[in-house]
Amino acid sequence: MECIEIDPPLENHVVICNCNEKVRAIVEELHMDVSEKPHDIVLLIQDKTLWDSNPEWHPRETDRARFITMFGSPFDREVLRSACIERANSAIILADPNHGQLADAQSTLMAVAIEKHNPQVHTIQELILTTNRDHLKAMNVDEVICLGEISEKLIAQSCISPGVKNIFESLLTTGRGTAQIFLQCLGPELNGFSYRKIAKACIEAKAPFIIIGYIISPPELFCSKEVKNPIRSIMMVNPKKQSKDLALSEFDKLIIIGYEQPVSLAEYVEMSQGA
Amino acid sequence: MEPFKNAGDSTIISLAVDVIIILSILIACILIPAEYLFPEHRESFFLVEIWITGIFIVEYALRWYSASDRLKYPLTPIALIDFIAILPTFIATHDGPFYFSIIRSIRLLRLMKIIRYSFLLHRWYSDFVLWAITMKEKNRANQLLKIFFYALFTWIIGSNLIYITEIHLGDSIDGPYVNYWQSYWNIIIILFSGIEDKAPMSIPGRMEAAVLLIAGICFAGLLTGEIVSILVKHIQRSGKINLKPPGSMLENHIVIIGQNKHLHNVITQIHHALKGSHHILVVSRAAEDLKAFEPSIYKKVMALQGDALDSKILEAANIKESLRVVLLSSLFRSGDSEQEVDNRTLMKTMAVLGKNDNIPIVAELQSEKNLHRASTLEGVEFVVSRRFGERLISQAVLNPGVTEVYDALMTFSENSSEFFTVPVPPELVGKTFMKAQLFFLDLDDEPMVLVGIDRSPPLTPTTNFKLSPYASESGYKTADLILRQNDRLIIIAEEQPSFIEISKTQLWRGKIFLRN
Repeated sequence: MECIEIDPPLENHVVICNCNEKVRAIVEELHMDVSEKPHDIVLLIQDKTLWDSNPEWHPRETDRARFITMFGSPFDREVLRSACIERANSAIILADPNHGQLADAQSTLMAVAIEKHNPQVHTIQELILTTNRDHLKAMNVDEVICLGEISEKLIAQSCISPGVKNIFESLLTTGRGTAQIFLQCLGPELNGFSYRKIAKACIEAKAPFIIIGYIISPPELFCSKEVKNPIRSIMMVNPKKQSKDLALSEFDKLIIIGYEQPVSLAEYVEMSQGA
Repeated sequence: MEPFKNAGDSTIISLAVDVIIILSILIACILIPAEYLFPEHRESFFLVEIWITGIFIVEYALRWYSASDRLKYPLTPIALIDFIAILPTFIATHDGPFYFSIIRSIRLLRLMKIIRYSFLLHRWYSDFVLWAITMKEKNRANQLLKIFFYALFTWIIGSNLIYITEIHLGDSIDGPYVNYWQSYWNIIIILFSGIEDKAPMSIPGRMEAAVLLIAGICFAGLLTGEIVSILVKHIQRSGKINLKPPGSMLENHIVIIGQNKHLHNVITQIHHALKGSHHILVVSRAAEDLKAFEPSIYKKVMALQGDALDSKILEAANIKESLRVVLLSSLFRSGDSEQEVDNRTLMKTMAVLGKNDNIPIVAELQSEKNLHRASTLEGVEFVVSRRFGERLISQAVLNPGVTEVYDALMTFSENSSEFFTVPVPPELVGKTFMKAQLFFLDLDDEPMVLVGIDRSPPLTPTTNFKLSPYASESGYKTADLILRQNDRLIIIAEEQPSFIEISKTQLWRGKIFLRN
């Protein structure tokens, strides 16, 4: 089976494996993306009856991007191929409700199968049990999201600082008019600049974003579209005195809060230096 | 020079210094009657007095040196008390030691120095009382005490009875029970060893001794049974959370109502956030079975058995004196829907509000549908984890790698940074947001990043805020970027910044959460 034939052909799309109650929110959130062209989404459904019997999981249709449902097992290479996994940007593996609390094993196997099929795809796995997180480190899954863990952390955050939950909620919303966290490559123009210097320049240039930290990473892991697993290195949020003056390399990334990803940081530094 | 806070940066040296100062204050006060009672040692006492005054002088000088406003410091009430503590020794040295009773009375004012450490003493006392009650409950001290009192009662009554019987009915005048105090000794041997080596002379006396012998066997049995029971209880409860002893009262604690699979991690997060400075009380029907996974984390965690919908249980949890309440979604019972689980949580939330409507409450809900209805309960924060999870998954697609940044911002760990909202420092009122950003960028001793402005009403924090306000999407005009007195700043920092004025009373009573 070859990649599904539709016009225009699928490319840079998102493949969601399995369906559960989160499908609707994820699809609608991705379609709400402020970028010019939101991702098309292909949903691979193993259990047709489950999908049909839960109409509340079905996302609202939008003309901004396509939402395609396909039936079959993501373990089947042909099914993956028909979902054009080779050209996909990301794959989200949701926990299969049919497996209850033991869904992590199936989800991880699915993620491994996808990684084998297309190592360049960015895999995001939903984890049910926090305790399984450690076991996934060797599995080459790019990002693991455990709802329970988020819940625990948010409860603790709200307990210590009432109201802080709203900040996270706002940051996590992809709609227009809400700030988000982005990772921005320094690029060769800012090679050797420190966090302090770049942050100061951006503040003085009244940049529409705020730099909150940086990630140092070896060149082979960073700023390359072909390379996966962007964060396997040192992350500094709110750097301390010495870390503020550390010279960063072009391969490092800045963590910024803004409404959209800036095209380049160098222009703000130049603007500030020019002034 | 801050007193030890039992948390964060307060080191063992800080604790040792505080203990030395407190001991010096107490010794200095004890010296006053000692000089009166033992006049022959006056010279030695005077030497001790000199040493203590030396300690007070060094302490005074260091406090003055480290004061934020050295000019005003000597006039602050606490500095005046410190000065009064030093003064009497100088007067005594000048006018000849120990002759003026007035000097003696002034020296008593040194006790006022202890005010500085009153919060520390209060917390030690509270912790000690709680520890003592817990130990008493754990070791069934009440039962042991009862056995002890019964034994004492039997001993006294038995000794007197046999003594009177022997005096009046005994044939011999040199029998073992005709001496009043000797009969006490003989009876205690009968009671606790079961050996009747000193037999009473009269028949009624022998009958009484026989009863006491049986009583002795009973006591031995009871005592052995009680000790075994204590050991068994210890074994049964090892690895489990300590149960809150009846009658004990926690203060300034955090109450977690309900338990589910998140409980351990929520406790761990709160423990890391507060560095174990506050007690955590878990209220659950299954409190007896709750496991203490890591002893270091569960040192200040207690469990209270019962249903939070029972008013008596909430009173026992002392909700009125607690600082925060967290309501976890109950475990799904067979056949329970999300709605039913949420209904239980909502009912418990209302029960807590009925006890204390001023306390910040965080409640976990399962269904997003209930969020809107629940919003009628003002002052309660509801968390639906699914909502955040779905958004985080979307973010992971759009900005690969960003989930770890969120994770870092959400996690409390050693030296981690989190979001805080803080008042605008007076020197930044009327300044632009940009000036404030540069101000914070240069704060190297206390790193923090300014990320937004919060203009929410005081009762509903972080409901009207803007992150990165220079962006046109924020909707802020140039005038909006001028910081106002009532604004709050959203910062990312490791701890509440030191420029925030914190009420000492609140700090002392543990009403404010500080990691350092």
